[in-house]
Amino acid sequence: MITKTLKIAEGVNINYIRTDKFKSNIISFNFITQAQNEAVHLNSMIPLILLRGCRKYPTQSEINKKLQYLYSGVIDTKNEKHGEFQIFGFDIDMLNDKYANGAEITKDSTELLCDIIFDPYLDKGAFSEQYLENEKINLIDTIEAEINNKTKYSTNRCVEEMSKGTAFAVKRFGEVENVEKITPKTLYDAYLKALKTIPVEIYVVGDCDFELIADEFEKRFSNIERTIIAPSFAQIKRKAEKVSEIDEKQDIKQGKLCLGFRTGKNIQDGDYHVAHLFSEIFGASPTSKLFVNVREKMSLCYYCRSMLSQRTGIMLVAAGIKFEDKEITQKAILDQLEAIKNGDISQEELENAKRSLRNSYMQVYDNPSAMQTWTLYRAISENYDIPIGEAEKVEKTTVEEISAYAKNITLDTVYFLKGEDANG
Amino acid sequence: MADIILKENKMLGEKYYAFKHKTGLDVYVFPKKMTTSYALFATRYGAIDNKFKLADDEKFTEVPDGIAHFLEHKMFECEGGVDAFELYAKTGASANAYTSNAMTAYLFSSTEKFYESLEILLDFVTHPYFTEQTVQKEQGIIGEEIRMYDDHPGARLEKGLLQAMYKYNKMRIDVAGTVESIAKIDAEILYKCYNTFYNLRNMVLVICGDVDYKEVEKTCDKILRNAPKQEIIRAYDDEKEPREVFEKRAKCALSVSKPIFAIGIKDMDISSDPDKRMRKAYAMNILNDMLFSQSSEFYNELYDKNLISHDLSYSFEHTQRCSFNQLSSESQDPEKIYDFFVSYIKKIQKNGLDRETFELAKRTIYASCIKSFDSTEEIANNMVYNLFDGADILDTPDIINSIDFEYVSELLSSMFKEEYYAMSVVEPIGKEQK
Repeated sequence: MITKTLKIAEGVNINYIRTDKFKSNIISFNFITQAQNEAVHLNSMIPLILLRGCRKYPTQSEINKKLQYLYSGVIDTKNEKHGEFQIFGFDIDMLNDKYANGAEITKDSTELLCDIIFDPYLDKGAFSEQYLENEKINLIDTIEAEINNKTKYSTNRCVEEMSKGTAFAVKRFGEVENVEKITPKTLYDAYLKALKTIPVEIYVVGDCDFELIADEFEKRFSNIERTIIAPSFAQIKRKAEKVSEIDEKQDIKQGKLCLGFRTGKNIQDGDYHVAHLFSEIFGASPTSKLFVNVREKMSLCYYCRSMLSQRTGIMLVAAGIKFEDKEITQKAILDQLEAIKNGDISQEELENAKRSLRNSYMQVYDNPSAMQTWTLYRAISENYDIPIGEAEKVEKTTVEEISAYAKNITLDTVYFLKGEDANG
Repeated sequence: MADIILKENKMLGEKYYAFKHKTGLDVYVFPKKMTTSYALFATRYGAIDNKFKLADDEKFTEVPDGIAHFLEHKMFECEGGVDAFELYAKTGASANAYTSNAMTAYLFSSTEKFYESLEILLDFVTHPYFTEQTVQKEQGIIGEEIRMYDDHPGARLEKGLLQAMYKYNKMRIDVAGTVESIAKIDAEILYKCYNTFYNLRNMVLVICGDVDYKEVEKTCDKILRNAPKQEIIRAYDDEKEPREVFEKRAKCALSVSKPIFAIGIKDMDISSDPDKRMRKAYAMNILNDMLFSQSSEFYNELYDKNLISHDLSYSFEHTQRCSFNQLSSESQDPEKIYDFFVSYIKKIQKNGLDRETFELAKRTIYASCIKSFDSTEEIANNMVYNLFDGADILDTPDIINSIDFEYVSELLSSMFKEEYYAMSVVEPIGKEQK
């Protein structure tokens, strides 16, 4: 997918994914670092504080006016957990210059984004205390709002329980008590450390003046002395030792069951396409075994699906059910897994899953941010192909490979979120 | 071959072909050089259509809430126990469906074997098959879907807002119905609804992608049968709907971390001319952006005091059947936001809007309109939504350009009055305010 890559500073690449399909262009700026409890909250805060103001536009109102002037350019802060890695930075979405009656959107938006990243609004040599106090409250709200989405909350809790003490368990935005302790000085130090030591991948997707964008970023990095601290891959736990049962209660109407499995492999072991194909057949599509049996035949739920994290080697199965249906649903899910382990996959199921997966891989080419994410994750894991290459590998996969993959899967944790007045 | 209408917008570099198929179905093909093609087969039938008759019928039929959505679920089951998803699995297409207040849509996206998938779509939506047993099975599944939304803060907020604003308007009805209402549904009543609303003359097919309209017509020829001419009469019973809101507040308590709120501004001024409706809709988008965007005084003052979070969202819904503006976010103190909102609007009404802010907001709305032509999915969905309301998406850039400062100023004074405001709040359990 990548048309061109330039190394513009130590540990900084800028990549061009050229396509003329779209009326807008995106730039994505990503710091990629190890997820660590000591730093994750500071790194999450960096994009938030930077977007509050830069030297040239010291308030967010001024930044936003400038963005509106640039035909509603949108800058989003970014902070993701990708397995043992934390990825943070910004995405900007800009209208193509040709729709803008002569405005130089690409040039001016790139400058604005660079001003925000490299030339922040400072007060006494550190970030503004007032802005920081504001953003601390916002970040704590975001962390606490995790309980609002019960499905996500229960899957996050399950992963946390399965990964205690490892980088996989580090919370995306960090811990509330750590956020409370951030000061303008500690945050500014973390920001300088990011600029000086954290690897950066920049992506430009669309049809625009790539050289101009690359030059601007190169210029900004040229006066920063960089020594890279590269993040490393974490060891995964390959097999469950015993099944942990965790029950929690909240005042809710529907029970959330989440089964956490260890697949025995992660992406560094290869076989990305085999894992995906397994997941498609097991529970990631409306013709999967879980959908057809647990939902359609047994009528136990509205959703029952599997989610595979190829970095952590963890697979989750989530279902929204009646409180009293926990045991029967759990058994129904395990029965379907057992079937795949025994090679019970029809030729039709296999072909269906292959077609469906190829369809979703090929759709990546129609979405700028999907292209960018695919390329970024691939740059991190270095162990799989571009979508069309993966689609070809899927074609050649056999039932034996899939059931061999399934045989290594072990149940580790059964997490159940239920109502206050549910029995048990 | 049917008569083909070609509509083009040169500035956008976009066009579509439209024709009326001999069966009575309106077909739109929007060519787009993308890997993914997207098809939507939709009927003008949603949650609000719960009382209806055909012109020849003596009496109106009234049906339980949630039936349009229930029917959508059931359409996927074909005769002989086959599921439409299994049929799509042969082509690799990714399929889905949704029901809203005013329509039901069946869709797929595919990167290969498009016309085969289109055959499946046209075929299963025109072949209903319900038995008492399959209806019962679905009651279990949809019951869980309803319970899932009962725990969903955003869904509860929206429902509360509609029920606060409207006394009679059928926007009050929950699209999925309730566990009690869906228990009343049986096969016979499903067939009745199907035969009334899934008439091709009440439906539309919209396709966006690297697709040839001649092939689309051939596929229609192969699968579709002529639809009888019939006139559907729908009773909305909303003549008594008062201009002011029904209740000022709607509240519920859920297990959430912090209150979320939505302020609704009820509007009854709905033109019968679709172009005027579209113009008003975009003018309100511009006005909303002027009043509440991240560069506005409203946003920044509340944000600096930590009274709202990053996500302050606002939108204006404006169709033949309903019109309202809404503003929502999280806040420790929704009542304080409400008071601030009321006084902020009064102040701006007194001082007037600013012309430079108007120009910037107009740019914003114009750009987001252009960007909406980047995805086959978005194009097809926008097209259907607009077609059902009588409007044309290729007209949007010109309509936005035609909106002037005076019209937006007029809307500021006519739309915003205290008796039109209501607020819905979802509070954390145990922290409910009296």
